[in-house]
Amino acid sequence: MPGKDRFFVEVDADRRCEKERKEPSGVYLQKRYGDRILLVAAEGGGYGIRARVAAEVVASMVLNYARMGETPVAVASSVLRTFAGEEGGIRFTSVDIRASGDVRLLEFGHPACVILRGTEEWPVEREKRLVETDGNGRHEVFLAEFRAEAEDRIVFTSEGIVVSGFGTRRLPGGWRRQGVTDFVRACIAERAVVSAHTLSRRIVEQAEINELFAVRKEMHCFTVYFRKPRRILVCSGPPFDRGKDRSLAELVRDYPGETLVCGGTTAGIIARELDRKVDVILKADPSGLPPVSRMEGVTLVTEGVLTLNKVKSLLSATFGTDVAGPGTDADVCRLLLSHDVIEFVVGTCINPLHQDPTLPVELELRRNLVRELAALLENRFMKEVRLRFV
Amino acid sequence: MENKLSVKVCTGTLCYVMGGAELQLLESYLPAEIAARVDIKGAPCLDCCNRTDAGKAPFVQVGDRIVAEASLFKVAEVIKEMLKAEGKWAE
Ligand code: FES
Repeated sequence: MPGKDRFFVEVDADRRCEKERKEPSGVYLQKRYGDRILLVAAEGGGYGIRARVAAEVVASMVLNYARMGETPVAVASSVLRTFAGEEGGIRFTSVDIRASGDVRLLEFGHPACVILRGTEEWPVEREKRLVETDGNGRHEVFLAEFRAEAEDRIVFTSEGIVVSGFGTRRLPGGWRRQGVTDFVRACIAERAVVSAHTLSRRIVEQAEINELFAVRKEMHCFTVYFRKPRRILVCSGPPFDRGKDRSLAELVRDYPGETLVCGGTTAGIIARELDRKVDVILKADPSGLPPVSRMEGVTLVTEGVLTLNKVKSLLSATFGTDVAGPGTDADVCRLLLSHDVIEFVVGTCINPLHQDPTLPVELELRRNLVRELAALLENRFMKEVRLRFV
Repeated sequence: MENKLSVKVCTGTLCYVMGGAELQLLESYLPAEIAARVDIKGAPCLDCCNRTDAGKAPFVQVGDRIVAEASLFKVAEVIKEMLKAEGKWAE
């Protein structure tokens, strides 16, 4: 697929509610459909449940119409006609990204996204289109299409961020879009590879500081970072055919990225074939999992199915990319989430004793476990996952 | 330096779920004078879990002997026995 390995699209978001509110009324959705990523931020106007429901309807309409191949203008007019007469508070921004790097931007009511090439703002031209709704008139929506390159970024900030600090001594006119742009450029100048996660978090934190920690208008931010992919190889399970032991070991040895081996037998095979030692670090793990080991040339060696199972549970309960905790399960989650391309090579040789019904715990079949884990990493964490059974 | 008796505790999946987790505490369980005479290490899998003739998990290897259905007590007894046999320890 063109451009598949050219760069990875990292996306992350952050938000803050107004002081004394727990749930935001705006909505942010991100979905991956094969090689395509769709992001939508939407607001329904006003506060509370009503605004939230309106925002959810808008976001899901934008997402689904775009997915079905509607043009941005058709998407915008469907939304605005649905809310005809009440479209006053409606705002939405959608970013439609293809694996080739082709990006389609649709903006309505929100501050224009900041698009950066390296540290410089890239002035992508917007096309203004008028959308007419029954009865109440004409609305301006803005469209842009461009092809992103590695190290480009798109930063969306809601009104709440752009106006943060308004009326304070330091920022009497608010932070403004230019203030946000300068801040983002400074962050990238400080650390060229700053992640989408960190950048979104820093923007929202700065906006909160601008507000002197009493947020007056809900804040939403998402960042898209097109960057060179970080790859990790995860090997778990002995190959079905023993004749493949050698090629598995060579795969680990020659892999152009980090490597994780989950499984004692697998680690033994790789160590034997490469003539390396496996040193178990005999220390109780806070997560209750068997201890990890060290092997030259391998980032981390862990036990197999118990560890993968706990990793799956922990990831299922994780939203965003922050995984706290001191255990092996958290370490593995952090390792996986810090990569973009995750390649699983799963050995299908089954130890019949693992399926013994008298075992005190039920051991899930490795291949099912890895399939579920792969789906989670792909759908929730937007990773590019490759799965191979040997 | 005295040659220590090698002890390998299996930390593989099957041994772990069959009660091997507590075997990680072996070093602190052994009396100091015995602990000083053994070299305890973990092993990712002792390869006994694939064999039908090795007995039941969890496994620990003491010297060249495989201890099946290992418990802290059972392993400590085997260690004492082997140290005695080698003349390295007397009760
Ligand atoms: S898991 Fe202990 S011998 Fe294989």
